[in-house]
Amino acid sequence: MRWRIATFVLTVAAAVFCMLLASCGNAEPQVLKAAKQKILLVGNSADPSTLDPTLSTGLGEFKILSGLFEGLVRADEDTLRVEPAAAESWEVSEGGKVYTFRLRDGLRWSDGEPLKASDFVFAWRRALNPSIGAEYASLMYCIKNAEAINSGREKNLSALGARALDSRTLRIELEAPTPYFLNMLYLNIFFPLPEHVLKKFGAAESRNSFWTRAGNMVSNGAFILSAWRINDKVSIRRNPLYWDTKSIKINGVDFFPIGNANTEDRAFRAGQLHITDSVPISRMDSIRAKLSDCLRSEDWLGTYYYIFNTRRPPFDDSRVRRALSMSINRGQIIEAFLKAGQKPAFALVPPNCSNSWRAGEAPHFFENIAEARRLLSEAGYPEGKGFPKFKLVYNTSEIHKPIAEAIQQMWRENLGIEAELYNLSWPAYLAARRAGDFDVARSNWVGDFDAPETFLGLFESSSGLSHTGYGNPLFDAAMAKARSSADNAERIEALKSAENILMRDMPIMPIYFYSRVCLVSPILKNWKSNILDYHNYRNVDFYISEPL
Amino acid sequence: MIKYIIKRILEAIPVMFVIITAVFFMVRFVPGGPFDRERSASAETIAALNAYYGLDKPLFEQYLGFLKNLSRGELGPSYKYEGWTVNEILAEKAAVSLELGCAALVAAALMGVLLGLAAAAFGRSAWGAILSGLSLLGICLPSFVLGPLLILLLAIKFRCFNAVGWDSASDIVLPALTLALFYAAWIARLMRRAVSDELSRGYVRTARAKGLPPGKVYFVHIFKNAVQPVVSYLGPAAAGLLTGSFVVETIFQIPGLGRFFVSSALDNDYTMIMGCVILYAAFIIFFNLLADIALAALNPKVAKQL
Repeated sequence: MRWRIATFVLTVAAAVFCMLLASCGNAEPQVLKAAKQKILLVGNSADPSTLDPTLSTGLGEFKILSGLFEGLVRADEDTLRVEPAAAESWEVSEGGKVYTFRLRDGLRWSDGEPLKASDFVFAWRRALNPSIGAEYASLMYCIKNAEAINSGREKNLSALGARALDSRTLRIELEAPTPYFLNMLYLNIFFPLPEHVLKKFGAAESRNSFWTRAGNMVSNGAFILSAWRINDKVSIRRNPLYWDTKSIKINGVDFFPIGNANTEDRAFRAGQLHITDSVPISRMDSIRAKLSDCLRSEDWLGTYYYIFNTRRPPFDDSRVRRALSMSINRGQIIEAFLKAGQKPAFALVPPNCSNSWRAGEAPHFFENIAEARRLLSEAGYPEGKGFPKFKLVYNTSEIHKPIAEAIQQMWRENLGIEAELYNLSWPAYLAARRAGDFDVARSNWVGDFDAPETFLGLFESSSGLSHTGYGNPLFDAAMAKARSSADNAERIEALKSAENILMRDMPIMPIYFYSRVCLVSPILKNWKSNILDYHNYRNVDFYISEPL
Repeated sequence: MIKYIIKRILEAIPVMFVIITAVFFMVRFVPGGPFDRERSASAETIAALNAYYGLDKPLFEQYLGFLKNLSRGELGPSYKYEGWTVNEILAEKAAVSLELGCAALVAAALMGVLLGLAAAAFGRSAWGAILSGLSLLGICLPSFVLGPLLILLLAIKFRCFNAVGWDSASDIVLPALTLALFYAAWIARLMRRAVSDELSRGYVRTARAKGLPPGKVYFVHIFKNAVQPVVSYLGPAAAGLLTGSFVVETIFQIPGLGRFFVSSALDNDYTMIMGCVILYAAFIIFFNLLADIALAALNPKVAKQL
């Protein structure tokens, strides 16, 4: 009897299980379905926390905003060369200090309202308004009075050196000739904003408003926002009112904020993404073997380094800092933990910056254990004797931890000194760095725009972003000279000498230059890459051409 | 009974109050603030942000302000998601977690009860051993192994389902299964144990001796008693399932509540942390109450004590 009951129960359980699986079918992969509708499916790392061009700081947000909005200029997706966009032309005058932009005729916002030069002025004043607290406002400090307005010293927003002369002419006055000014104008903080929409939603002077929601947002780029679901996806679709919509080949992009590389990898293999944001390092070898036609390795404008707390002995001695920096094996670290074509770094500014930064010049320093030992003993710690135990701080990540452990080991073996590792959560790590509660800390910098200033500027005494406590009047003077020179060759020379000073003082220990690896579906045509991971989706298309 | 429910609800109020107060102050002692970013440069910017969100006021004043808003059901703006309120985010995400959690709960209860009944019926035979081995496997197999395994097999190899996302109706199957299996295994073990205990009771022998059909003895008399530990287990299980799971949501890229529990804490998104904690506490209190009421309905002895 009991057997019959048991069999019955088991049969029911099996039937339920089979019913769950009944929805199985050999469906067409999403990537093909989307390709037929010309929709691009993109893995986009972190979830966007805002889509307000003034407030956004993340790269993932930048990728979305570059589709939604268009600045005065755009960049070529391959070379990053600046091209006319909302502005059809511009003139530079007064020794590079005044730019006059002429907007295209008949530009319109996605709601049909005309786009005027004053929409740029409105957006830039808003970004510099101290009560908005835009984190990237400092990018605008090259514009006359921008810094004074942002810091609250100048209360009159109209003092900003950006004025609409008429509805199609924008005149911008700079503090100093800034040769890379145009290279910044395609960043989101320089995008125009629809004043009429922001005022309607009370966003002109407020961070918190509903104007960035799908349905509310009005933009001027190739696409408009059609859906934004937190932690799920952001969809943008063709903007029929965009002046050059004929040149855009795709009908939209869906961005998926898949932060976990393994999840993203599975989504790609299940045919749900055209492009991933990254590749799990643990699967690198297997992907190289099986998905090599999809794997792309691209240079990225970024440097991974450790910072020294130069306020604390013994790291106030540049010989100690140099010794530590010379005694690690960067190649080994890349080989063992990164595996994606990163390059050992012996400088702060990546060599791909401004096409070929310091090409052909000797590195600032070499890995040399004997020399490192000599420097350390010169500083009073022969064979590491008497060198205090010190605190090495990094934030939780599957990359930072093994690198820190390897470097700890290398220092122990090569110099006889002992680092204590502190693995902190992201906010705790930021707080420790800001408070100077570390001896050595992991750090990195990814360039905001393609010019050495985006890196070197961190280490000016006035910056406060390096957290090293470093300051050298010679370095500051070189940077000031670069800023004020109207001649580009002179500027480059000044920047090079600034980097020389920095690498001699060595408040940081460069470890490697970034590269990114991602998976790109073979049905994607003309997916370009560049060192800023900037995309305006003008070139991309699919090999499947007929829409269903 | 109604008096009992009202009493339990009244008891919950001070509990919630203590939880809210403790969490409100605890999160403020975590190093860093909600506006710490890698590049957030100037002190002026941080000051402007703190002033904007009222974080520059004395802590106790902020606390009173929070309670005042809470009494109106407002949790305030999210510090991470500019332009979104915690209320609307939680409402949207709770709907997803509720849907997924309900599916998982039903699947877990069905599978667990059926497997438990079967295992008990097989007794000490080989089949019984296999079934209890299976349930042990279900308990031991963590979701971060089971989830990717299911994806590998059913999404990548056979393309039956999507590997990630929350778009089509079938997207619920794999995550619900992953979530359900652990609970199903627990329920199966609880059920098997309870049924075995009941089988040796006197009333079973009496019922059989009186000539009751064996199916009726098994499914009506024994089941009604044996299912009680499962019901009381279902209360906290439901709270856990319905508020989402960080691991399963990360594996399947599901926009549910679970990930906010973790991400809001990492982002120091104070209002979101409060929202998550309040919601979770309310769920636990509610489902425990529900389980107690269900138990009372099943067992008059329990009902009398209420």
